[in-house]
Amino acid sequence: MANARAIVKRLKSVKNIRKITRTMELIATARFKKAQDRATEAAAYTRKIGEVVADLAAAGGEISHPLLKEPENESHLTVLVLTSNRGLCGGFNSGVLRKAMARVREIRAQAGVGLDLEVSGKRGISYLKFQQITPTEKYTQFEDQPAFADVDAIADRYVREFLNGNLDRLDVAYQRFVSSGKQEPVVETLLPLSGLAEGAGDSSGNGAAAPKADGRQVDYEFLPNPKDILDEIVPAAFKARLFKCFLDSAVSEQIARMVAMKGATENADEMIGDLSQKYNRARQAQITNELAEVIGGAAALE
Amino acid sequence: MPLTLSLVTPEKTLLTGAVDEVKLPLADGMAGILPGRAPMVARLGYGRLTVRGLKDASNVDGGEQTWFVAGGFVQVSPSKPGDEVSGGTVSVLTNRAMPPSEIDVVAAKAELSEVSSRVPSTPEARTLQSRDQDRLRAMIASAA
Repeated sequence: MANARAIVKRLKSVKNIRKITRTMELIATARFKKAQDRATEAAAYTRKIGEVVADLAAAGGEISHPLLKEPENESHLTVLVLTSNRGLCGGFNSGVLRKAMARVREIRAQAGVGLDLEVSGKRGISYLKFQQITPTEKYTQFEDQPAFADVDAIADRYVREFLNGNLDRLDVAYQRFVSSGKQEPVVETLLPLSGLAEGAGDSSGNGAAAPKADGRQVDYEFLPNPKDILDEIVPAAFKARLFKCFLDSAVSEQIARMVAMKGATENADEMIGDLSQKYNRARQAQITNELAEVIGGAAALE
Repeated sequence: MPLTLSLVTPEKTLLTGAVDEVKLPLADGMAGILPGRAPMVARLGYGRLTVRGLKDASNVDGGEQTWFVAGGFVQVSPSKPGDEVSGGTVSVLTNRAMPPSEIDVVAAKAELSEVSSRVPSTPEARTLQSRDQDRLRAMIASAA
C-alpha cells in the first residue's frame, strides 16, 4: 500500500517537472528564433562595412589605423567573458568558462602582464566568485536581445583605452554560433583588430563588389577623404564585431537551453513510463494480495 | 529611374526600397543624391535624412519621409546589370537612426546640459565633448 502511494507521489512530481521543462523548451525555441533574426539583421551592417573597407583598399588607400597596429609589448590585457544570466542551459556556461580560464592561466603564467578580467552574465560572475577571482567589470544587462547602445558604450571605452595605451590586447571568450546545429566556445582577439582587409576581400567575392570580378572597377569618390573615412570606419568595424560576439552568445545560449530542455523532457517521459509501470505492478500486487485474503477468509469460514 | 536606398543600423535594416531622391547630412554639410549619381563613399554627420518618393507596401507614394541619423557612412554604388532599378544603390550605415517623432527632446536636452558642464582635461576628451554636443544639438533640432 505504502509503496504504491510513494510511487504515485513521485510520478506526480516528475510529471510536473516535465511540464516545466517542456515549457522552457518552447520558450527557448521562440527566443532563439527572435535572437537569430536579430543576428541576421546585424550581419547586413557588418557586410556593408566590409564592402566599404574593400572599396577603400581597392582605391589604393593604405589600410592603416592605430586600432589595427600590434602593440610592441603586451603588458595590459583584458579578457571579456560572455556568459548567460540564467542557468539550465546545459554546457553553455561551463564551455565558455573553461576556455576563458585556460586563457587567463596562460596570461598569468607570463611575467609582468597586467590582466583585467571582465565578465558579462550572472553565471560567470558567480563562477568567478566561487574561484575567488574578482573581475574588474561585471555586466548583467545583456539578456537574449543585447542592445547596440549598451555594447557601444563598452566598445567606446575599449577603443579609448587602446588608443591611450592602457590596453594592449582584448580577448573575448564566447560561444560562437556556427550553425543552429553547431556552436563552439572560442577565445577571439578583437583588439588589435585583424583580418579587416582580408574579411573585406571575402565579401568582394560575393557581395556588391562583385562587378570587380568581371573587370569593372568602380571609381569611388571619397568625401571628405579616404583617411577620414578610415578613421571612422575602423572603430565602427570593431563595434560591429563586438556586437556580433554578444549576439552570437545570445543565440547560442537559447540553442543550448533548447537542447538541454529537450533532453530533460525526454528523460522525464522515460521516467514517467517506468514509474507508471512500477505503479501498475504495485497496485496489481496489492489487489491480488487482497483477493487472496478475501478468498482465504471465505475458505476458512466454510 | 529610381535608386535603391537601404538604411542599415547594427541592430536592423530599417528600410530598403526604391526612392527618387535622398538628402542626407555629410560630415561637412548636406548633400542630395539623385539617381545616377557618381559612385561615392562619404562620412555622415548628424541630422535629418530625407527621402522622397518612397513607396509603401500598397505602392502609395509616401511623399517625403525623414529619419534622424547619428553619424556613420554612406556608400553610393552604381547599379549592376540585372538590378531591378537602374539608378544605383545608396547604402546608409549608421549607429542610430530614428523617426523625428521618436526623439526624446527632454532627455536629449538634459544630456546636452550634462555634457556641456563637463570640463575636458585632455584634447581627446575635448573632441569627444564637442562631438557629443554636435550630436545632441542636431538631435534636438531634428525633433518633430
